[in-house]
Amino acid sequence: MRVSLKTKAIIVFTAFMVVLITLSADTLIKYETLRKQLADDSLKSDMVLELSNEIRLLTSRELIDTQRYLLRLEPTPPDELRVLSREVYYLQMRYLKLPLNQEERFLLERIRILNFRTEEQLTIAVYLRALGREEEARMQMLKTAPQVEVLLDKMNNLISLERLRYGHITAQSQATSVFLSRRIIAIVVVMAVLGLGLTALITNRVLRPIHQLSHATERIGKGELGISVSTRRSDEVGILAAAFNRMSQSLKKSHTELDQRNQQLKFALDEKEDFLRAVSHDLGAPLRNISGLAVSIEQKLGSALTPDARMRLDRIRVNAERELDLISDLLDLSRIKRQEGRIETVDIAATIKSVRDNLTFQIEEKHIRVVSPSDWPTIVADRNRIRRIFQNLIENATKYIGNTKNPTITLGWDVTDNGFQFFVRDNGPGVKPEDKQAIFYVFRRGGGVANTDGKGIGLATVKSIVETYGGQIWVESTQGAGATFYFTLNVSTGLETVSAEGLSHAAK
Amino acid sequence: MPLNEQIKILIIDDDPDYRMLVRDSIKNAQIINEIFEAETGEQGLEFLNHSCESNQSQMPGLIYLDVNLPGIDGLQVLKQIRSDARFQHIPVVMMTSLDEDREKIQAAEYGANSYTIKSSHPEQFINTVVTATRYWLGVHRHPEVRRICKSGTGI
Repeated sequence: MRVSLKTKAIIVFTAFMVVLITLSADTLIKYETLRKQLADDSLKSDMVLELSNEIRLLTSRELIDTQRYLLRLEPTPPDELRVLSREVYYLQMRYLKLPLNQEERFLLERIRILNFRTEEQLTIAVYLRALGREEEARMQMLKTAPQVEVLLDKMNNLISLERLRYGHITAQSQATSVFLSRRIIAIVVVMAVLGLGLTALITNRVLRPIHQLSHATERIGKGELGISVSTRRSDEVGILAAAFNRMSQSLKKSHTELDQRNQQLKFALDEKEDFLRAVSHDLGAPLRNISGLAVSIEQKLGSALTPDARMRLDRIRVNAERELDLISDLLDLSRIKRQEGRIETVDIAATIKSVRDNLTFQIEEKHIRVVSPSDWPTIVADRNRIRRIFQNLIENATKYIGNTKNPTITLGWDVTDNGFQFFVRDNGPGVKPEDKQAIFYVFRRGGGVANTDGKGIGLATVKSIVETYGGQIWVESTQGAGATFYFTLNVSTGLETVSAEGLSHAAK
Repeated sequence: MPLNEQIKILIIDDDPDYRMLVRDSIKNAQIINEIFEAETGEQGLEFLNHSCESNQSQMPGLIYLDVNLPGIDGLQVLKQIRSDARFQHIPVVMMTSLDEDREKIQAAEYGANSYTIKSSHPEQFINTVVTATRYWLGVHRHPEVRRICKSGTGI
């Protein structure tokens, strides 16, 4: 049965509200009724008590005065007594207007009758006195005295009765508050139970699945793939769980695919690398031989050859060398681009010495003088790549220095805002203005001196490396007066103890 | 250092033209008695075996070994040379066309004495010959080495 969570929640909440409202309304109504009744009764009680007390007071007075008169203590005329009696009568009438129960009414009626009789007799007494028949008046009074006593007695009864009722009212009000407190407890209990029920519903049906899902998501985030959550439910949570499972599977699938693709790529890259190595090896060997053979012919039969023939042999050599360089540079470029570098502290002085050693033969063959400062910085970079830069630039300088007198290669460096600037200068034929940009690009060659055509892609490799370090490379040259290759590297110095100067470098 | 002693040299490389060029460049050195050539690693090892068994010591004083060989790989040849007591004392110079650190380190691990990049300037070979000669004269003439070679015991 597909009952959505929303519907369930609405039903529970509605039931909750209905029960609560019903209970509260019922309590309120009952309480109002009780309270009103209580108020009425209290009011009546007060009035009754008041009246009763008044009547009793008057009646007492009446009695006392009558007795006094009888005892001849004071000459209280019966008219005054009659007035009292009348007053009592009026009070009684007022009393009768109150809502009384049967018992009270009966009692009051008796009192009224007694009072009426008393009044009658008092009237007679008054007349007799007026007629001067004092003794007869006195006889009459004798009759009224016990009646007034009875009257008083009956009043006391009434008052006791009222007192009882007053006690009854107190009991009633207590009962009302007990009723109220019981109802309040009932409401609180109902609210608590329903509240707990609602919480249980939410926790079980909503929070627990959410917790499950977030836990599963975390696990996926950590790398576990293909996780699914149970989906026994058909409501919104169930839909979410199903969607989650689909997503998880999809993720796993694409992950697997990516892995496979990566493997394939890696394999392809390795294959390419192997291919390049094999090809460059196989391509290079015959070229080496061609060059070597040309040289050896020149050496063995040089004297027997014409200058023209010697020149052509040399051309064979040069061409073979050129192609060898190209193959070597191509291989370099591909390797440099692919290799992940290892960052370490590179001692430039050691690097340059190594490069110079490597090129000893070429340098000495052409009697090139190399000028280099005695101190070089240490930088944080990939050793091989830095070496490659210097190797290419210095080797180029030896290759293209031409036939200058006193061929000299000058090296130098300086500090920049972001790192260092280096230069390699030669006093060869220089670079043509139109070639100054082109020489750094693959397969676009500068024109050149008669003996040396093309600069291959060695400079393209250098440019690539320099740019990896956020730097730039350019050439300044005056034709016929040499060329200076400048390049910058945004690297930090590798010094452990940092001076104030060093700080500004290392911070970059 | 008087170079009146003479040594034999073994070149193991599959490129005949290159072998010829190397031969040309070192032939004129007076210290060299004879140059032997081998096309493959197997041939080279066979030659070494043979040279040890003969009465006079025909052992080469220096081996030039190409890294890329058909059949047994150059490094494997080196390994075999180094694991045989009879010729593990012979200095070996590895030759390769690629200037790669990885290869150099591997060669050193396998026990090569030197390493050279094949170029079209084989004159550089002269230097290695001189250095190797010094080394060889120090070691090869040792009577103990001669004895091991004669008896044919290997490790």
